Amino acid sequence: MSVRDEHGALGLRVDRVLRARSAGAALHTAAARWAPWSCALPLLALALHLAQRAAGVQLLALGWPALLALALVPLALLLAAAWMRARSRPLSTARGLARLDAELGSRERLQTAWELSALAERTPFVAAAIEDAAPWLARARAHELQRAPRRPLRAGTWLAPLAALFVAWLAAHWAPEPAATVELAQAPELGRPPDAPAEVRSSGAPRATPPELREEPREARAPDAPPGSARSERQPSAAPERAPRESRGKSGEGRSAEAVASSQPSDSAGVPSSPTKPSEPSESSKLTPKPPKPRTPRPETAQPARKPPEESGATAGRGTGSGSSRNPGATDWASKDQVSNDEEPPQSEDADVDDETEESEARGGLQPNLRDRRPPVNRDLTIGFGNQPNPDANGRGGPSEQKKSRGVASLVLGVPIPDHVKGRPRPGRTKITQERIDPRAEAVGALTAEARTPRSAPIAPIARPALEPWMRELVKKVFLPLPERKPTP
Amino acid sequence: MSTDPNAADAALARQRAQRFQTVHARIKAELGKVLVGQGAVVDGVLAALFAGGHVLLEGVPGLGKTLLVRTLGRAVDLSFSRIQFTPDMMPADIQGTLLLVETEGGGHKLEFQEGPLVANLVLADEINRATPKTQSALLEAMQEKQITVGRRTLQLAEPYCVMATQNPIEQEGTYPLPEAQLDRFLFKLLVGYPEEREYHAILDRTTGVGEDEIAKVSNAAEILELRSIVRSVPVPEHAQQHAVRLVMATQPGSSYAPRLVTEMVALGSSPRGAQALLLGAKVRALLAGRFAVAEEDVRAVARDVLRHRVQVNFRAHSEGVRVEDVLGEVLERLAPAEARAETRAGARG
Repeated sequence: MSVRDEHGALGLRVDRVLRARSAGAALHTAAARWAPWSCALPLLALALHLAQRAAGVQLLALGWPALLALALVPLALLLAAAWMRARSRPLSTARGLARLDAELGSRERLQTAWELSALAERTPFVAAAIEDAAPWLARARAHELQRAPRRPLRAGTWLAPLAALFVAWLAAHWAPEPAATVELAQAPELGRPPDAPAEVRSSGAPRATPPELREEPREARAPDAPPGSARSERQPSAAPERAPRESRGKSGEGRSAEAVASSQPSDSAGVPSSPTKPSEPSESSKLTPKPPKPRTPRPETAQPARKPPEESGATAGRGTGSGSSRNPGATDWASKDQVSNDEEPPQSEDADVDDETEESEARGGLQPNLRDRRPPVNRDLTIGFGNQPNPDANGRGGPSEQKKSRGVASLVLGVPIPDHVKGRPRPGRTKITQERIDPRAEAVGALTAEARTPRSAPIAPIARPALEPWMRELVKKVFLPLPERKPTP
Repeated sequence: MSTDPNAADAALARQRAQRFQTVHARIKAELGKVLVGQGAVVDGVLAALFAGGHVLLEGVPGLGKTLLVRTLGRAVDLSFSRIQFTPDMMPADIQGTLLLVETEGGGHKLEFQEGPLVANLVLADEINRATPKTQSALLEAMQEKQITVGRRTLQLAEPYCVMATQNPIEQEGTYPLPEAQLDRFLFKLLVGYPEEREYHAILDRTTGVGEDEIAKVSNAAEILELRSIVRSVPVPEHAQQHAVRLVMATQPGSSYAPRLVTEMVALGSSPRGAQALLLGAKVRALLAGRFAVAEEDVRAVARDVLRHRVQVNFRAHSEGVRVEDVLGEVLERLAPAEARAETRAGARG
């Protein structure tokens, strides 16, 4: 017997054992999984019987042996299928040897020797590998396979078929008997007084639903027939006797006492409304629009007077363009927040100061107050040339053609600065200067030596920049929709 | 029980395997004179040397990467050269160039001057500081073991091994290695911090007056012989199948790829990864005293082999999933055959 045959036979024997065990395990697993469901059919039958009993009909009546068979036969079939499937697994020598290798700790020597022994060319290392497995082969023959610990079946697995048995018996014994059903159905007409309540017809059956709530098709009964007539139509033994008496036209004269009694809404039934009466709450909730939510009146102080939108001085050129040269020292430039009205007398100095204080407080001092931008004080100390401007003026110390802007406002980027002041025939245009700055890369923060911790893994721990969750989500939202870069083959 | 008829062959194999282990132990002992700890890194470097591959060492500065390679060059009688990569380095700086030299008669001629790439053991220090152009000059040397300058092609002497180091955190002024070059490294080894007791040994050795002398315990011929021993280790079918499936499991969309790979991996391993898996596994099997590769050998070297061959995508970066996580998932998914059989049986039941 060659080495390969020895290994092969051993592997097959082991795998046969494994297969048998796996079949047992499959049986175990299937039982644990499906046994609780064996109650389902008997429970269904019991529910069906109860419903039939409540309705007073008998459509299906099964004995308890039949119910039990219905409960247990599918379970038995499932278990058999699981067992057969596990048993049908083909035997594998490699699997058996791998199992032996794992249990013996032979580092796959048995499986390797079996595979290498099939090679046509036997190199020194192949021979050595086969020879190396020989002692393990001897040990494997004497080895008994370990059994995998199997979880015991739960109590529910065993109790479920017993419960199915009980439920099946119960369903069979609670099944309505046909004779009793007929008797109960005819009882009101035979012996019960006409005004007897419907609940006394059957002691075991639940209380009948008020006829107003029954949902039966109108075609199934006479237009004014009481709901009980439908049941009598389904019972052929009682229907021929009752039919002539019950069909007495639309006026309801021919209604039987039982029908009348059962058609009256009973107080004890506690039905609050009839189907014909519209359900007011539901209707109102559907149709009536919701009343407007009462608004809490806000105090006047909570809503400050809305300010007119502030505009920057960029539009100051659209200001008063009268070009009046009544007073060369005074400006006619006015921003939008300065409501210019030539007709109105100028505000007093004190009022301006108060407004400026409030304004600067409201702005937090971050923006310059445009009201500050007033023409400089007229420092015309020279003798001019009549009404003509001094051609030698340089903008400082006297009247000039063009004033240079001054102050903080001129230093802030993007703040429009009027380049004309009063005294010119036309206000001219406003020039906005914006500076473009190229983005500059920031230095990457290096990991400090103190932040490094001792090694806990083969790689030194390198702290990743901790992304906040919202940042991570943001980045993902931006980049994930982009098409993935296709890897180069 | 029948015995193997080729007992002589088996004895020869045992002798060769024993020789391999002896030489390996000698070199490792010499490295241990200088290098403290880092046993896994030393084993990985030696495995790459014996398997005929190249190594990429990654770690923070000061962990002994350069020292390891330099000491290896001293312990093995190989020609050793070190290249400190800088951004302004050009391919000619490492491959060599033609120089105009003066002849005896007063004339001039062009003569090829070899660069530092021409050696047995090349330490490419901080390789990711070189530009891609210079990095690409290594491709031919690493794969074909030759360099081409102009019309001249120079065969590099065997054994040829490039051991490169790179720093993971000094990313400023560095150029990430392209996938084509990363694929040419057999292993990527992560050099970590020493343990506490190793710190004491390092301080005792490096702050005193004495210095250990490194002896040359092997040579090029012996290294080549050991390489042939490694190549002769057989690979059974189940181990090879496991290596193939491991590589395929790193490729998104493959039938073996777990969900994490499909969602988080942009580039999986190439067939070079499977070659590297088997070569590394052969060295490990020999060191473990076995004569054939087992699945556990393949799995043991899988992280070092596949770490640099798998590229995660943006989603993985955004969710903090690393390559190591992906490889862990792959290894867990592809459990050994016996465990797979058990799992399958359980699933059927």
